[in-house]
Amino acid sequence: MDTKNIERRCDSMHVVYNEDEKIIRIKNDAGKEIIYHSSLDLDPEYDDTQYNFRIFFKNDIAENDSCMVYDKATKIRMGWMIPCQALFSREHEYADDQYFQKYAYVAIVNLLKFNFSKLCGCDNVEEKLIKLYTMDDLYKNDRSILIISKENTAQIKGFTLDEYIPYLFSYGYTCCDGALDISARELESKHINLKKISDEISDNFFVKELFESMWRNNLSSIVKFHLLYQIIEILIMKVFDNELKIIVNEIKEGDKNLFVLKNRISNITNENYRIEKLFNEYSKIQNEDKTELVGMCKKFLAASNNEIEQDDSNSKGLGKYIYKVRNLLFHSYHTIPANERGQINLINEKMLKIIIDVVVSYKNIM
Amino acid sequence: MLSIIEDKRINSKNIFVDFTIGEYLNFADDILDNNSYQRKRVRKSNSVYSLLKSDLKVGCVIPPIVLAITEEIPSDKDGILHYIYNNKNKVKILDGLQRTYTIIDAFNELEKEEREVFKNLKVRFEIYSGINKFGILYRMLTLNTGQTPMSTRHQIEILYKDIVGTDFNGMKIVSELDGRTNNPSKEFKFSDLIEGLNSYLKRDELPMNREELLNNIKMLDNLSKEKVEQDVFVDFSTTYFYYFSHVCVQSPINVEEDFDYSPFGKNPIKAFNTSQALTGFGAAAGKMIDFGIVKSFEEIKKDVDKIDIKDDEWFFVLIENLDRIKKESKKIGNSQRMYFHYFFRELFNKDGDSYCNLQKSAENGYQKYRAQV
Repeated sequence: MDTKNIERRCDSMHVVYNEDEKIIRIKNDAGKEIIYHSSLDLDPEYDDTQYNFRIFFKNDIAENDSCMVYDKATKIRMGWMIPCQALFSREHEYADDQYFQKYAYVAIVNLLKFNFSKLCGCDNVEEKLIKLYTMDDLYKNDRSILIISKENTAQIKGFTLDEYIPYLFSYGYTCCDGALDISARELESKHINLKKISDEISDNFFVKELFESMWRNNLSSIVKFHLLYQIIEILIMKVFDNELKIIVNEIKEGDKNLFVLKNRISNITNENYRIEKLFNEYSKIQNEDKTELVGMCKKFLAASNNEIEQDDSNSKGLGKYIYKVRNLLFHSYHTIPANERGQINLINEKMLKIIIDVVVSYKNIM
Repeated sequence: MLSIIEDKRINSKNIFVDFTIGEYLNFADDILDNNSYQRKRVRKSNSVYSLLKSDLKVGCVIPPIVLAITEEIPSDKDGILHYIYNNKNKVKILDGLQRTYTIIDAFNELEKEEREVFKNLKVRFEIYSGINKFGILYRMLTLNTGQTPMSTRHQIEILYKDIVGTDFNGMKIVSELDGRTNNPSKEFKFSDLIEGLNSYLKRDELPMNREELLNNIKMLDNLSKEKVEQDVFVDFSTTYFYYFSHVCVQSPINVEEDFDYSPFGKNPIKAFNTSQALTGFGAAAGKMIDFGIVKSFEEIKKDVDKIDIKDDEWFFVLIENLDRIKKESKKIGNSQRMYFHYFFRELFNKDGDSYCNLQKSAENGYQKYRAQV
């Protein structure tokens, strides 16, 4: 095998990589060609067609922030998350990493193919510089590329990337332009360990849609709260269904106090009660997060002259306080002092984090 | 027909002369090799050059091709041709590269009988004689007003590429293809020097963006202030080499192998033999000259003699700051350039607290850098 020129032909695109010159040439069937000069050393060992990619946005991405991405449950490595800027520079600490160089090659070839017609249009000026700048213009500082190995993800039962997108939010990666207002989760040993949406809700289109295309940072705070609350609405309906099933099963088993059962049925029709159940029994949320959100809700309600009970411990009663905030926003927004409305943003930020933990950990109790 | 005018701006003769296409073809291929850094030819079949080729075959008149020769040449047409035939490697095309390709293509496509007729057609030439490299650069920029623009950086590369592989003011200049320099204390990459000069002319250490690439106005403005008699590339390089030899080569510092991070450079030679340091220096020198902090590269050289290089701590401060930049920056290369820019500004500013003090320059330069990002 000629190691200087690596050629592949597929998808009606012919890719040639010259290792000595670090030049990628891609030609389509119509004979149009783009030439890309890489500043990185690339390793063309991997076949770029065996990978999928997706672009994400993140606030304050550093060029050095490349990391491997794993499915937490199976510990299978899905691929790499690479800041786009890292593909155009050899100054970061991964530039000489042999695995990074393989994935960087895959990333660059995929991006070049994806932007083929755009890049083809600029061949009447200095090819080398303009094309490098064009890629740099297309993929600015705030973008990262997630490169996923088809072979590896085929080992994850029922794998689809969109089920992992909510959890990527918790690391600060969003699908839509604009910075995400969230305190990003820390990497574990420089890895992203992803959890997917719970199997019990993965068929719900809205949950995915919210994270893939609806959530933008420039939405108003009340819209954001409303969108997040829709997830709660979806899930507390499931809680209701499940609780009702449990009660019905108990009735079938006989010897139950019907009065007690009647009270339980009455409870599960109560939205407050179901929200409490959702946060405490049907999902796993950090106590610390619950406590913080309860505190934020209380502060906001107090500032808006709502009555707060003094005797709740902080992490309990989250359901009740979220419900009160919801009612305030939906029924009495006009009563909130203008200088207190900023608190809704803080509530949203914490609520987003909690909702992400809820959707990945939701499980019907038996 | 021959006409000679003195170009007083660049101290050169401008000779206007006709050659036949046949006379031009006798040296065209050879001088194309002198312009190997220039744009590749435009190959589109429906381009304006394709149309020009058809028109040439039927005898159209094309705009003058502009050539440059650094030496003084004879003033008569035969003398000029004789000189060119014997000194093809000294002739550069300032304007008309694509037209030259088109002429060659047109000739090659003709049948034998048609070629004799074609060779007798005339083409006008403007030849700058006795022009120095800076003058060539200036003229190339002012001539390059449209169609398919070329960046100043590229033009500088064309002009100075003959120093590659040579000893240039005490340092060997190597090309990109040679890879990382084998002996960084005595070798510099040509592309790094060009970037450094570019940064000096632009007064900006950052790589050119697309707008700057196509619009050289700011650089042209700065170029126009430079003295034509002096070669700014030589001044820039020799000053930097002087600093490099005095501060870096003389330094015994070498970072241990088991350092807890991978440093930007294990010693001052490796750290300062980089495009980041050169562009930082270039931008700093340009800015300081503009602000009147220093008058010339000569003055910077004199300041280098005053730099105290007794202790090593300055270098550890420098590489620690560079490591912080690597971890936090959105674009590491650009941030490193900026830091070097402020480092040199601190080092050579007589009015500042860090004047000729490497450690203070490394510290205060970092503060200034942080204030910008």
